[in-house]
Amino acid sequence: MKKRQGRKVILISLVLSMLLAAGCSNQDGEGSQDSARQMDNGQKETDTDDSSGQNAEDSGEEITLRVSWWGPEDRHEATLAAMDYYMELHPNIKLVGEYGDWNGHYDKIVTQLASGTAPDIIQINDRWYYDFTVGMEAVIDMNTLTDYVDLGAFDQSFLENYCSYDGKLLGLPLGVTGVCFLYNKDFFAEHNIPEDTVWTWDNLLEIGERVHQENPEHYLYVCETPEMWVLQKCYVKQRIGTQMISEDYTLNITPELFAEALAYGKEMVDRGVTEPFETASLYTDVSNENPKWINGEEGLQQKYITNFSRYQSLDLNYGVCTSPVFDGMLDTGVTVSTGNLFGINSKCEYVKEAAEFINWFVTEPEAIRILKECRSTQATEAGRKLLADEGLSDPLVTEAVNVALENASNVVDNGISQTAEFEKLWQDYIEKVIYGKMTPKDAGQGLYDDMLIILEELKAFEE
Amino acid sequence: MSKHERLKKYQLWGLVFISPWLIGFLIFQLFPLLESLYYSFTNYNPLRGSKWTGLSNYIKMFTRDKDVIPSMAVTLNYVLMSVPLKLLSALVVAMLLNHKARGINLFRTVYYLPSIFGGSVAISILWRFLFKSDGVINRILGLFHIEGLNWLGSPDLALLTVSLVSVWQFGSSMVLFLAGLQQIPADMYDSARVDGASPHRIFFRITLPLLSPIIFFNLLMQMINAFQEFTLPFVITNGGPANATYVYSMMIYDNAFRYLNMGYASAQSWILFLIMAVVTTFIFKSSSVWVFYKDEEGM
Repeated sequence: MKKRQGRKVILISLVLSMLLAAGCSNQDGEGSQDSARQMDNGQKETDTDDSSGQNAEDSGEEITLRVSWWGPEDRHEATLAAMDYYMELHPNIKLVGEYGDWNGHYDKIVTQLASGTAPDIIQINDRWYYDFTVGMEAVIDMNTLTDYVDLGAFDQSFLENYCSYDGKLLGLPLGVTGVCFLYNKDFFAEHNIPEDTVWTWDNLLEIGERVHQENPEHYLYVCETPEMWVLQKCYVKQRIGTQMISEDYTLNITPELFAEALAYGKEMVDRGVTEPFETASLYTDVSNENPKWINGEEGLQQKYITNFSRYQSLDLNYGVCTSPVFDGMLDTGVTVSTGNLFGINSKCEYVKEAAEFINWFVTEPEAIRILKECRSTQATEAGRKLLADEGLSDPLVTEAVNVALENASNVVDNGISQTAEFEKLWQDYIEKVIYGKMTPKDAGQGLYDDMLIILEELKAFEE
Repeated sequence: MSKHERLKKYQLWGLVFISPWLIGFLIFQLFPLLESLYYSFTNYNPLRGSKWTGLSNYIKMFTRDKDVIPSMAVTLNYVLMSVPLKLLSALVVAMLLNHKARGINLFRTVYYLPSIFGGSVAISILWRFLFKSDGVINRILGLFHIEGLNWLGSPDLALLTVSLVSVWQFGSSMVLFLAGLQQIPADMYDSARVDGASPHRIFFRITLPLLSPIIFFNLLMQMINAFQEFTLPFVITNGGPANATYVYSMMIYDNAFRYLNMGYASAQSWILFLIMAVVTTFIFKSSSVWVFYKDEEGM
């Protein structure tokens, strides 16, 4: 009796559990069938492509591709408009945009990759190359997709130097961008700063100090922690003339050089060249919202050209010039990069369709007309010419890209030099120095020591 | 069927009915919990796999990672600032609302509203704007010719500001205090007044002792929440300035999702769990001294 009772209970438990599981996994079940269908289809596509050129698109089957990117509002609007146009041309393809701000985007993407839920098409930043390739294959090597993408439309050395890691082409470039100085012409005129000033590390301090003395409410240079980091990176790269971290995980920056760069940053704040971090930090990554910049009380900042649109929406009179230099520098330290890449998730079921969309997105004249320079200038020569011929290019962006390219660093940052830990650590030490919690010398040594620990751990992964 | 068999049968049926929850608990809570314990002994990276590293994550935390101790100190400061302030605000407002007056229910609802919003991102952004140097708070201070403070940009003030947002959400504690206050028999207050007790004495000799079980519960819950605070400092200050609001949960988040050191983040999570367990045990133990139950002493 007891035994029967026990069995009955177990049986009912099992039934309930199965019901629960069925309830939870109903959609999964559909998804699984869907996936299976997609996989079958993917297989079929490959087979039929080889033979008769038939594919999922031709068969009229509806295909959904998730596309992710980050950026300012105008980029969202342009990208969505281009996607809408593509869907009109290809009624069986549904493109779903997943977009937002830069902040937190990397965290979201890596979590999605880890859990197998990443979008099919991923906008990739060059800082992520290392994370996306070492020990894993987050995205498909585009060199293997030449049947669907026209690599000949791009400058080959650009693809190799800026879009590849370890011989793998991680995506197609969405633009050509770089870092340069963006200045307010009216501010320069007010403080008698010639627009053709060749900025050096010394005159940046001298002119900045003079500006602040002329008007204590005014600061020459807009800077908070991440911007200070970009500036100090340039300072350091000019002095080493090589990778900050070699491929064999050797740190090429001495504690003394770190200390020197950190001391320079501290001097900028102490001499009133830049606004105190206490107030500037409220506008981290959004200096276009800083009232001082908006009101013309600050005149100069270093910016990625991809972010120009945020500043151009303000009623200010802009000019561009190159970053500071010094006699005897081993490299310009000026970053030039892609306006990010569109890569294909290695788990994407519809690789061919994804590749064709990306190819259309970066090479098709109609797409270029819609997207214009929402990710800096176009990545292809034909795209740049088209925008120029039709008067669709922004003269400021074009000039800025030319300035960046003319002064481009000969050292394209490798993946290991761009790891998130290195960035965070350096920025932490910048704050410790600026807020007076450490001397530049101690901070330089601390940063160096901590980096050695991180590199040791990263190396352990590869071994 | 004997009484024992009948009891067993009921228990089994009980298990049947809670089995959906039980299975969910085992799969979605217990399993990840144990998995994180395992990962804490590895260098698990979700994109690259893992290797067994023994105690190295735990050793690194206390020997090589310079962020851990400062971050623990920030978290402890946050707990010590936000929890007492929150409980005090909740108690004061609960006492004010423990009166029969016209529209009192409306006031109770209004004071509870911030808790419904919870530690949401939208609220955090709203507070960020309120406390900016050119925000509403400083403008109001300006009306009284008081110079505004740099609430979020100063390393000395930022943590206090974040704590204030948490204090503002005192509604859930307040509701519990209100319920507790309404449980105190009115005749006790009447007797005390007849005996000539002052309001001050009534509060400390009657109200507080009889509310102590609620204080105990609120203290535990709020403390556990405060140790795990993440959204407010993440959205309002992003851990800055100069790591002044870089609470422990943010450090775990950075290690897990920015650097993908999931193994190390798991070890940090377990240390946080241990700290919370120790503090909770201490509060439990101390409760025999300061928590007063009505049933005791035949009341």
